[in-house]
Amino acid sequence: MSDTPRRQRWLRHGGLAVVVVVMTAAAAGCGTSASSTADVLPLPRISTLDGLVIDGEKIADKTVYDAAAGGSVSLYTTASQQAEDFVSERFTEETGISLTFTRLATSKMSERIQSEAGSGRLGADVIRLTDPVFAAKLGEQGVLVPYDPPSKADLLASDAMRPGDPVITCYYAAYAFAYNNRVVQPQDAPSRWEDLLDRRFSGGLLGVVRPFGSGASLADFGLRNFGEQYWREMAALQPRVFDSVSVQTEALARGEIAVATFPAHAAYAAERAGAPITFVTPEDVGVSAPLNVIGMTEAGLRNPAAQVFVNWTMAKSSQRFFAAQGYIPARAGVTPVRDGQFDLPTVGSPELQIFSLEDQRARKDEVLETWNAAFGFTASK
Amino acid sequence: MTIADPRSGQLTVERPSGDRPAPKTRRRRGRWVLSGPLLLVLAFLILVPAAFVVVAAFTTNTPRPGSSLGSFTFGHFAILGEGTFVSGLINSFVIGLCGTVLALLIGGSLAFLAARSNVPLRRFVFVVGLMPLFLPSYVGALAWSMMGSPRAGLLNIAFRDLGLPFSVDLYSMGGTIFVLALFYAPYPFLMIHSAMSMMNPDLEDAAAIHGGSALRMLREVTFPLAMPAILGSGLLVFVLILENFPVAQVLATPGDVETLPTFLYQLMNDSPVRGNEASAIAIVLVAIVAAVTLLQRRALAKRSYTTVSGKGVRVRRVALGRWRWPALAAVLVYFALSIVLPILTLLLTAVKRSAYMESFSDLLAPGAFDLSVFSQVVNSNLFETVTLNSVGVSIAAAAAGTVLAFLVAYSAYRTRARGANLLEGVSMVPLAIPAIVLGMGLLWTWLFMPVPLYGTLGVLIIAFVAVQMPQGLRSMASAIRATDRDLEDSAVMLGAPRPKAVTYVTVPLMRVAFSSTFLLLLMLSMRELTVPLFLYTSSSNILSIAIFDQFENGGALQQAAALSVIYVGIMFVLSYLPRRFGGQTSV
Repeated sequence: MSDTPRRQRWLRHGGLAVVVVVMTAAAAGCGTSASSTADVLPLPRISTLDGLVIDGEKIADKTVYDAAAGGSVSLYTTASQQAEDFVSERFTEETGISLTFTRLATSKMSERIQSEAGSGRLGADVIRLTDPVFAAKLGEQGVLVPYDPPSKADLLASDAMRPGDPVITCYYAAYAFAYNNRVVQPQDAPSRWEDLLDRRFSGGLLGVVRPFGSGASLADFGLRNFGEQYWREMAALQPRVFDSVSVQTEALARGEIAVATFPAHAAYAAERAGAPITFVTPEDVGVSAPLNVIGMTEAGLRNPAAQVFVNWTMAKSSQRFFAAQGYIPARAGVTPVRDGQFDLPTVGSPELQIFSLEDQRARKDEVLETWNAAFGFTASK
Repeated sequence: MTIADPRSGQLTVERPSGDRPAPKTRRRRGRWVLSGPLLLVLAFLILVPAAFVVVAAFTTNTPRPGSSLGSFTFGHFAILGEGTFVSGLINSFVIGLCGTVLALLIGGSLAFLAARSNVPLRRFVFVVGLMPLFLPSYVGALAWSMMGSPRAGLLNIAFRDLGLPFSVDLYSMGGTIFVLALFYAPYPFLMIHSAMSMMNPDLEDAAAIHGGSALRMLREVTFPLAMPAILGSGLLVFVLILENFPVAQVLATPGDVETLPTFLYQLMNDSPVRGNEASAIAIVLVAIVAAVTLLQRRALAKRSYTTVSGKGVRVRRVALGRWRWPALAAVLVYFALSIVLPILTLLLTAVKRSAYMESFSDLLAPGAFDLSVFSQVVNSNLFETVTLNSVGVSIAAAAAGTVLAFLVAYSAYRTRARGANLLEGVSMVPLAIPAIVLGMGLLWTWLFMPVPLYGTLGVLIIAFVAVQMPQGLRSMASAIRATDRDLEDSAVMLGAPRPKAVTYVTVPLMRVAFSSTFLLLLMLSMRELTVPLFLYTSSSNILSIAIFDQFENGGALQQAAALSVIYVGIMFVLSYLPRRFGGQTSV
């Protein structure tokens, strides 16, 4: 092949590559800079004159805070990616300490943590889990170790922490339902749990997420309040059954389904992204509230930055930050930030039906079996 | 000197005449010189993780570090009798078979058009054949779900807008087969193209001289000669489709079509993970794939497929006559379905302010678009890290994988080395083990290994080489079977040591195959998702995981779509590496 066609080809190919790179660079240059979390909730008052104090609450004394400066925290999490993105950004904004997180679904994360811990190579300082039973197991195995944040007294009073227990409840998720407000007009929107059984949502307009091991909270909620019949009647409507909230969110946002059982934090994230999704806090029996828990590892205990992170997580200002994203603060006395659409119940109110660690241990298998039988699934333990 | 092995019909190695005959034992030992070290490497890369999977299938506990194995049991195999498993397996077989046939038809036709016909814009046809590799199947599946879902699919919205009485529903077995075939067609395309573009035209010339029509020549000479590539890619595609999770999850599950991968996903999604039962299923899959591979080897062993010699290789082009332009039109339809429409859908999703759309006229409303999402994605802290990690890991894994695949293919098909069948069998093991189960095996392996690789990019490179070994080997094996060894042997007879002859004769002859294999492995590494899920850490995060996280997040659909478009752009740019430095002469 002669040089000329080769050069022409290279110019053509190289030119195309350059176009793609330039387009990417242009996209990078023409917009706003990285987002801040101030639009989720305005930043609190921060003082670092004597340790770290946020909104008047001591997060870390001077020794710990100085030792943590310039450090970083490694978090393993099964919580929502977007929530952890916000947390990571906010924590660094407020404390100057960097946080990196590894997020996986509960099942994969549990395998990974146990394998890493078993080989002595656990890469996490702090672990946040949506499965409190697994967290308790990690506590029993010594993977999570007891740690007392400065807010310990408040946390004990709120039942978010027990003496000597390494597992701390950091917030509750709130599960109820949501609808696409372009497909369902507000006057036709469901407002009570029984409205989901209306025939107008039959034939694939209703979506539900299939509960797996740690996700039995909502299935239990239905059984507790309405009996087995509730899930059977729902199954008779032939709803779309999803394996993950994310795929269901996408279907609801696009109007492929009209209504779905839904967590408030996912509705917040979707609404923020421009999806026409309205979350409903039901009028009748409230919402189902599974626990999200946090714990410190041995490595974390030796890392001042990890100590600051756990302290910060349980501080009132951070709890408000979680509330702003559709979670329910675990610490009593922290009021929900959002009003109107979410209007979520607080800890202690009868509308907040917490699926506790004891509930999970006692009923999880039976609950999943009943739900799977109602919906015609067999492959679950 | 070369002689034909009467049992296999393949060419085998003999020492150049004049060499002192080696004692029997030394010759035996010599037959392990290449295959022995290769077997060791493959055992390290593949067999150790696979052994963990086997152990998990027969013990009450999973073999993770720090925990006891429990007791021996066959109990996990009881899952094979579960109704959901059986129906999932049957559906997956149907989807696999139909998808493979369709992918072979598409890929084979494109390969023929690009390599052996006078279709207009042949270079473009080549690019079209490759391009779906740039779109990971889960991104493609989501794009097609957005296009072809029954209520809110963009195609259905367009039909409604135009007042047409059509509707499409991809939430079905048919939809799943269609999308899988679209995205797996590049495998047969690459391998068949490689075989066809290296093919010596002597036999075809002979057929033409003896009065055979073009069609008959293709039927009786060209396609039979490309049979190793056709069968090899068919096997590859069948198994990959059988195990493909994202497309099945996004398109089959909503249509109530149970499949094997979604069943496995449910096992692996349970808490605690039902890894033992998943491993038992993996063992059965390994047996099935081993049987199919054996059948394929037997089918190919009956004949010789040598088509590339050192002589003039100006490939014969078939004149399409009045079918030239219709053929190009068919290529354009495939291009539109596999690339243009999915990318336009992702672009629209990225820049559309609202995820909901009732009519395309909604896009005319003021403020309907928001382009800032691209800058948000590119300016995010994560973007630079994951992009550099992905590119670095993929190039390293593709380079190492290509060299290893060549050495294994050479050893298995070019020498009388001992353990040739074993080499090929071991290389094919990762294909048979579902990625999600193999991912766990790799995690356990690298946590047990007393080398500080876990948590680094190095472990991802090693894992990618292991997982993609079957694809690399199939690509190299079909090429090496088609390459004549006369020139290499001549070089040896003239005094060149064998490695030098391979380096300066065989490798240049196989330049197209090297470039195709590297490209294939590069794209696969860029797309690899399931295995790194178990191995990545925050410091070794890669692009595919970042996109998956965004999609998994539900609310970040716009960002996920924007990142996917950029991702496809990066893969497109990367694809120029092998095409620039590799075998472009055939296209």
